[in-house]
Amino acid sequence: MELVDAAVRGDVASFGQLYERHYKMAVGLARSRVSDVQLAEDAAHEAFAIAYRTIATLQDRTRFPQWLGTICRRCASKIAQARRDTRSIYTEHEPYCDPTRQAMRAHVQDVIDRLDEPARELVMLHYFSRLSYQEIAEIVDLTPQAIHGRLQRIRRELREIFQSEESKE
Amino acid sequence: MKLQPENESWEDDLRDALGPVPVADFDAWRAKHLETPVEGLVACNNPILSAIRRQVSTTLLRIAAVVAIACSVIWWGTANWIGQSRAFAAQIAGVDAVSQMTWTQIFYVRVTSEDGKRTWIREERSECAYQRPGKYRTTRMDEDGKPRWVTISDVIANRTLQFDTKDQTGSLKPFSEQHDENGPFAWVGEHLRGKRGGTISIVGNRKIDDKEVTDVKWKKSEFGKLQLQHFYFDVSSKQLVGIISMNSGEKFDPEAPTGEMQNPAEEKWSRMEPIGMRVSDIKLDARLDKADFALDAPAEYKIEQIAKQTVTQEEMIEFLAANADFNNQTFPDSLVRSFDVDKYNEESMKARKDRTVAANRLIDICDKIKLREIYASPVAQYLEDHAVPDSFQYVGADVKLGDSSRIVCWFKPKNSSNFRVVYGDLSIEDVKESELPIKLLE
Repeated sequence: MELVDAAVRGDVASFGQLYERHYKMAVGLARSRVSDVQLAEDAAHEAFAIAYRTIATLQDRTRFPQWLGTICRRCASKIAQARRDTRSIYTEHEPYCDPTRQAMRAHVQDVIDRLDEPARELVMLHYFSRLSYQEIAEIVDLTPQAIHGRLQRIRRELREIFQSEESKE
Repeated sequence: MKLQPENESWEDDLRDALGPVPVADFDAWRAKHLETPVEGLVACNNPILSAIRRQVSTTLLRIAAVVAIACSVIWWGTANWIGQSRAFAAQIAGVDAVSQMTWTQIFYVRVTSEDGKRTWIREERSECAYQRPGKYRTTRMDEDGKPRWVTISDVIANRTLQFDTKDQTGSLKPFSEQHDENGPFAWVGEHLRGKRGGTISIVGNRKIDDKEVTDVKWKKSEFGKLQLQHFYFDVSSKQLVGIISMNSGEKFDPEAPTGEMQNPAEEKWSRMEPIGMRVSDIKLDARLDKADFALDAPAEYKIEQIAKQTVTQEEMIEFLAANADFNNQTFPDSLVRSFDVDKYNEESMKARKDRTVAANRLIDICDKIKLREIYASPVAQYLEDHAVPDSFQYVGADVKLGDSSRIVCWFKPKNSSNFRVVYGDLSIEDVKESELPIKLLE
């Protein structure tokens, strides 16, 4: 909370620390909505820019991560929407990547995209952003135990999807 | 290739497939999102720049902070206590809304000979550059006029890099000077527009650096001291081209040096005392290289990282106590100019054994804090770092040191729901807001 107070007072370095501390979370949340890592980072950057401009409006300064998370979800959803609207005119290029690895990535992303949004969030926060149960719990307003339970269910679901994919082949 | 859920390591494969953990790069983000023209940020009501704007910011005060190391005159000034607002009717070139500039700055220091009988004036020259938003570079020359000490500051990054080109050593620390996003000499506009009080007169035209200039004099008496500044404006372009600022009681003209300004320097000295400074060669069209403002020292230099310096509660209270001790055992009427500066300076000049106990106490705590390069009042610095903004209230006028029945001040520490009350005997008590004697602030 001290960092948030300092950032509200104009301490850029403190905002920088908040940025460093919550960046992984922001990109993870965004990626659960836009799939693409670059777009997720763009959404996170935009979310921090909004947070920077409006941090003085944050009423409960202990809830910065949750507040930032909300902004981030909105930014990512906007980008996802814009992408859906304009995708046809893009020719998407990816930097060179090992084809095997690329296939694996596409497959995993495809499977994750089949999960519902709250589940995708938890997967991205845990497996991509590598946050602990405690950290995830703080962002989504649940207990670490609840996160543990939900991730157990999601793991089962993911296994089933992967296995059904396998059996199709 | 597909993920095999029957493998024990399938979760690792999942992590691997999702790619590396995102890595935060605040500097890159800041460069993209914060380093836009200041007007744009003002328009979007940027709280951080608004807060920076609230600070009174003048090069003079920065200079004063340096001067204070020797004479302690300005340290207890009002810079950290008073906010200023500005509404410009018109812009003055070199003063308002400067996007970049370069200038030469010379400090004049009176040096006294070893036997105390002769004085001469030493000049310390620096070449300075500014680039909006908030980037400064100052290169101080050695006695042979060669670049020696470099200071690069980035207000937005909140960092100052200093290094010595001879020793190849330096430090990187939080930015701690004053800054005005309108430019290094925006304070001149505040003087001319009456925001700082004082009187203004047109002295007349004269030649400065081969330019025909209008000499504008600003003066103000405050706390028994006369502050005197001369601002020079190019006759045709009306641009600010020079400044001469004199410490109280000093009068000199670098363009027409007389008296001690012409005395020869000696090798040994006993005392140095800054008497003023001069700004000249102000250029608004200089070509500046962005790399000159980068917070990077040459690779072979040894740079020490220094954390933000602060004042502890014990030090803040010791300062209040020493202040009262020095002030005839009585807490001062106000924390602005809270003690007799002349008396303090007089005591400072004495050997430790010849000073009063109270003087040693005050000098010790002041020196301890100043050595950390904290030039704000210790109370102001403590409150900025450790108290809820605007929660401080000073009610110590006339309270006797040691009086446990009377309150000197209170404030709300950060992360506390209670207020902290300091009594005349320096005891501390945490109380609920409802228990405070008066409610002054919303």
